[in-house]
Amino acid sequence: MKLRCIAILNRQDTPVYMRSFDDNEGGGDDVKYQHLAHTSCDVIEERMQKSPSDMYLGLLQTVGELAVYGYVLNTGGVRIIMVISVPESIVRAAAIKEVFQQVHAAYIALVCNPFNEFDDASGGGGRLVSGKFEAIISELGRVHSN
Amino acid sequence: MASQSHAQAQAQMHTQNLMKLDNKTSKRSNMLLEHNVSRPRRDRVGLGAFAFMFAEIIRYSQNRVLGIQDLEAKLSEIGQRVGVRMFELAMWREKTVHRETRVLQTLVFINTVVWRALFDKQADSLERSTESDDEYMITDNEPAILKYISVPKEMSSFSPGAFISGIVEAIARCCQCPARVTSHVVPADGLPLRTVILLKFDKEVMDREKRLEAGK
Repeated sequence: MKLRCIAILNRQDTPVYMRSFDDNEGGGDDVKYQHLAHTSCDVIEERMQKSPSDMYLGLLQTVGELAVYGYVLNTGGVRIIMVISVPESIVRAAAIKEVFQQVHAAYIALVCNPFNEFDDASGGGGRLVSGKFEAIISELGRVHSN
Repeated sequence: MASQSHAQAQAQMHTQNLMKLDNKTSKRSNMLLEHNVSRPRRDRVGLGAFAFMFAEIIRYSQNRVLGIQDLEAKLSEIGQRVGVRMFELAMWREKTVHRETRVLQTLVFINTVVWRALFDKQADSLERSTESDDEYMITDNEPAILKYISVPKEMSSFSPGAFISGIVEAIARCCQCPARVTSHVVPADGLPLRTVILLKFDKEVMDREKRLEAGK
């Protein structure tokens, strides 16, 4: 499973964090992932309505050779979106869920940091900046880059 | 004869009381001996350490404000920062997907889950005010973090529980039930530190509750 991008959106669907794992091109691809994140928002809303008792939303959409998976946090509307290259072999939902849970745990660790000025309650969509969080996401990208 | 039996009865009661005390201390020391040495509980902070920091927080705030209202507001703001993070952490640990959005469920959540995570006990009572239907009161008979804060007589209207009310306010806001939260010290017999957290929910919240009740 080749991880391409992890994005975190807040309740108002503004991207709060975006990290792409393509090591070749630069800003061009970021726009592609932002576009994917925006188009996934509606699908997220509709999945949330359909199955309100699950944090993992499953496969949201496939665009070309990219598959987009979604996950909602249980504390309000923060969403995590993961884009992977369409795999040759079947990818298990459990593997995707595990990656999401690791991102969730890293996010909780980030929010609990008292020196972090990110305030979700205002819905302001401030950028998430933290060395440890970046390190965990990089590690996830490295592990799932085959 | 009567005085002898009276003295005997007194002596008996005295020894009984002593034995009760002895029971309590021996039970406590037994529990201490049964704690796991190789796997200590890391989710607890010593009260002394926290009391030290809390006293410094109050002194820090006091140097930067003029007046009791501002002091309570500043403590409440610090409490709100704690509350936001506590909410995320508590929901993560609960591992449920369901998020409380109704007033009563939010209050029960604060009373049980949040209080247990913060103070290792549940809040002592939850009451609804009789005068206005948008006011609720959470009572804590002996808030542990306020144990070592003594308020001077000239500031007797100041309640250091403003920190706790900040935490509650942030959690109520995260549960989509914004409220104005204040804390008051209401001593009862034997409980000089009894603190009441008063929540006054916003008008939209009460309107929404009425609509949801009517819709049911």
